[in-house]
Amino acid sequence: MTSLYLGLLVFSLAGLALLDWHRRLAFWADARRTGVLVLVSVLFFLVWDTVGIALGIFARGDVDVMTGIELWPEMPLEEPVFLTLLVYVTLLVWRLVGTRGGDPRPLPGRARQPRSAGVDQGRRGVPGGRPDPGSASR
Amino acid sequence: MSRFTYVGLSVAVLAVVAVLCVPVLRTLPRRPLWWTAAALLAMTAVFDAAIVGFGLTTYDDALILGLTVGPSPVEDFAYTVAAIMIVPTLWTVLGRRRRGGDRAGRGEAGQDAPRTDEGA
Repeated sequence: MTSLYLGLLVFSLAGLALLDWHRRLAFWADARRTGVLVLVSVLFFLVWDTVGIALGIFARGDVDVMTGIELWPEMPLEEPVFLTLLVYVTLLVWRLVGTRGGDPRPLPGRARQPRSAGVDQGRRGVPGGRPDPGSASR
Repeated sequence: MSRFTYVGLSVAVLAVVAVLCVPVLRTLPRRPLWWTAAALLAMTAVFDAAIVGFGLTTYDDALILGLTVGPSPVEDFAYTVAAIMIVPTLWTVLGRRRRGGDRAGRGEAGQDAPRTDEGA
């Protein structure tokens, strides 16, 4: 029994958090809203999982890459962490696309560029274009 | 056998999720939702293959359809489809609720702006 899977999940979550921080997409745009969203979604998926386990549809694999710790019968410690990753990555991808890259922090040692000079310049002035995602947050 | 199958469970859950989420999703810009769906389904195909392939999850063969994407039962994708509906819905609903308070009017990230803002 090892923490390999748990470690990979936490590593992936840390990478997402870094993206979130840099682009101010979710927790770094509205911490409470993101917190409630993740909590409610993960609880929903845990109920779904538990029903599936109770019906005998799926079960925890007894493999070396997991800690072997069960929160309740057949529910591995890793599952809520995985579900958090699923919900968080969904939120970040949707926000990233929907806000056209979020609200990037300037790179170290570089002055902040006005967004009109940024990478999404080509999408400016598209009819029906949405307001600059950063404009309302400052 | 007349036991509840994985596809039965998945369709039932997705139906409930759709009934609750689609009215909200219809008010949102479509394109980000479709891109998110495409990206997340592709990621699921890759990472669920690892999860199933390494045996982290086991299935009762009698209760799954047997239709697979790589090693993953197709039913696993229901989780991703549910997430794609639930996450934008909750973000939108939680933002609306806030709007009665200090930040009247537009949300802070464009994605929250009412559709009437489009083209403004």
